[in-house]
Amino acid sequence: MTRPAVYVYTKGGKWMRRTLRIGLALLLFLTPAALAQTLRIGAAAAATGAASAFGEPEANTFRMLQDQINAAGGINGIPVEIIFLDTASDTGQAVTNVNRLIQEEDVHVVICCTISANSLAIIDTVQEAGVPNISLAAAANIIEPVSERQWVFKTPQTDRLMITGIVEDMVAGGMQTLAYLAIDDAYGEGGLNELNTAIQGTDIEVVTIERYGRSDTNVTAQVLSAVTGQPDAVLIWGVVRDTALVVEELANRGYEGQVYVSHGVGNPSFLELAGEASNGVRLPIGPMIVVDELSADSEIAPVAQAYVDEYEAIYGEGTASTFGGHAWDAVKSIELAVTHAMEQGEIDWNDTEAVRTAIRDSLEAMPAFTGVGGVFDFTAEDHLGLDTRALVIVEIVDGDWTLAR
Amino acid sequence: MLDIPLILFFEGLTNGAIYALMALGLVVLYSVTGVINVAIGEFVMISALTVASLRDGSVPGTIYLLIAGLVLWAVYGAIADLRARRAAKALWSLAWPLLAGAVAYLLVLAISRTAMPYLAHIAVAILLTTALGPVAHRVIVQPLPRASALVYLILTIGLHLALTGLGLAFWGPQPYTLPPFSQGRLRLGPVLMDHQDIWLLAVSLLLLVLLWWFFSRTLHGKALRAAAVNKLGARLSGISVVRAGRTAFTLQVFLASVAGVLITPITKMAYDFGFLIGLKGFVGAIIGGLSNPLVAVIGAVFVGLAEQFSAFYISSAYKDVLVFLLIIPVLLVRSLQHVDFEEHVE
Repeated sequence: MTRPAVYVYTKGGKWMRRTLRIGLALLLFLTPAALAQTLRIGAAAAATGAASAFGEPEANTFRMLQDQINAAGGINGIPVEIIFLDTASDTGQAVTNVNRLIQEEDVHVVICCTISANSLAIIDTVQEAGVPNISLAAAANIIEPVSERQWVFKTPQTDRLMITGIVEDMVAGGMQTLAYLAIDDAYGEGGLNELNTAIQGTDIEVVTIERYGRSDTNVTAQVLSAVTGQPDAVLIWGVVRDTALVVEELANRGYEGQVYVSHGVGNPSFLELAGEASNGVRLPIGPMIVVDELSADSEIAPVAQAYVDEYEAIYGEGTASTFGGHAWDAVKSIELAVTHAMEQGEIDWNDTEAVRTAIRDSLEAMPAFTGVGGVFDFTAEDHLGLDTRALVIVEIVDGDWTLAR
Repeated sequence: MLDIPLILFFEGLTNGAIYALMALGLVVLYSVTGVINVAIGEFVMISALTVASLRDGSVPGTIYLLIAGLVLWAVYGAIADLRARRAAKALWSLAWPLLAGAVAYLLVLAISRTAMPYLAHIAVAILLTTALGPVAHRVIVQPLPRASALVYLILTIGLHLALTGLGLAFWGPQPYTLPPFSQGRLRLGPVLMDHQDIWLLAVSLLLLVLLWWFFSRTLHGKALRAAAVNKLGARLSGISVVRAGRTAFTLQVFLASVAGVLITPITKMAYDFGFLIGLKGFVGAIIGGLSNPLVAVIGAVFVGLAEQFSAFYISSAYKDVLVFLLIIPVLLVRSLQHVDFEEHVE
């Protein structure tokens, strides 16, 4: 038998009830929604902790964009406030932060999180609260199925998109057999699922599947097993250090086929770790990394170039990364959604829930726009909205990324 | 390819050699003090990343760790002396660790600012990391002289977590690599081996021989063995059990730090990779019953080989599972053989 919830309040008698009512009324009065006409964006990213290499450029980009937008007079006169909370790469912290942003800071839209595990963990929170969230992490199931994720969008390319790019490159190169070497976690398994889907309808066959641990010191057995099948190509689906280890081992065993690696290694420390062995390795990645090689008719090139220039003017030469680019795309899509919503009709900035709904609806309804990471066209069915223009295949040549396709 | 088993064998041997250094360190420390050091892998990481810092021309975080430990040492020492009403000695106990810390800091600062050959950096890093051994013993083990193995285990789990966190703070999440001691490859029959693999095997073997000599031929080594066999007896014949424990801890950390610089050119290193190396060494040490160094070394090499062969012939997805499953039959056999397995639990 359950007691009615009001029991607690009625027990204290009249005096207590009255105090409670007055208190509640006061609370309602003080709710920050009554404050001002400001777009409040709540951002939670991994500025510290294991994913700080990705989260730090994101945090920097938020700061830069807030200053830029406000210096330009806000969005149609509405100033922007980006409230940033550090998740420390921790799932529990991410959920706490998002709750705090929604309940205490009363934000209109959330940008969270840097890594997939955290982005998945906060889905229920934003779905229940009815707050649009834009994730900066890769996994496709952050936004799928859309019917259960109406409030969740994301800007980074998914594994599916990246693997589709690799499969297209293999088909173009006439390759037919592939060995798949992956890290033994959700990332590696997810990659395998996407790979199996992507090769349907092509002549490509996965001949070997091997796995290794994140902190394995030795991958010889796996590499030998992959090489004995003499596949046309090897795909390594892991992160920086382990991929470098596999790439080196493949070179040691004299493997001569094409080596593909995941976009997870797209940062300079991979070039340093893998050294000469990385020569000729190909990977799919956002176009920003080779921005100066993009052809003149690429619509992404000028946007990406502008972002790189602005970012590096503040934070130093050579510091811009695709991860900060994802943050740029997230804030820009919010900016455009707000603009779009204001064009559709007057927005009541005192009604937080109405603003949240308006932003969500506008994200789906607004026309496509070009960001740093690709051309985004959010729809009711697709909360990523990217196509293969959002990736290029680069080849590592003498320790530098070169546009291959 | 007929040479696959051979390639696997040599790779397993290289890994096994590292695990053997771990296993030996664990056995020595456990037999002398009853401490199972869960944090052994962190010292592997610290020595490797210290070299990376030095090569970078920056001051490695290791020195701050050492200074913090020495400050604690000074405080502990002074308190102990004051309690025993030895005021003059308390002053000295307070002063010397602080002085040592200051000197070490200035030295490391000077070293990080001067260009030095790679091998010198390695020597400095090993020295600096090894210096953490006695400090860790003083701060963690010595204040609880007659605790049970379980208490020590919990303490070193704490040390493991602390050192991993500090490693992240000092060096960040990104992995580092070191150049091999010498470039090139050598053909051994059908197998091509990197020079670094040969270095690793040779240095490990040399260390094993040196340790054998130390324990069987020198007075210090014999004193350590005496302390391991019977603490009371050792104390009665004038052996300081505290000092023996400190030597054992230092020896273990030394082995770990050598392992770190040997393996990093092959495997790279990041703040959280030490633990698994230590854990596999622990499996080897368990095979040796935590008391027999020779069996522990053989066990560790066996772990390295089992890892390679099971990954190739059975399944790479279950490689670590299979290695750790090894513990179960070993424990079963050992529990049937030795009734006095828990002699250290008092």
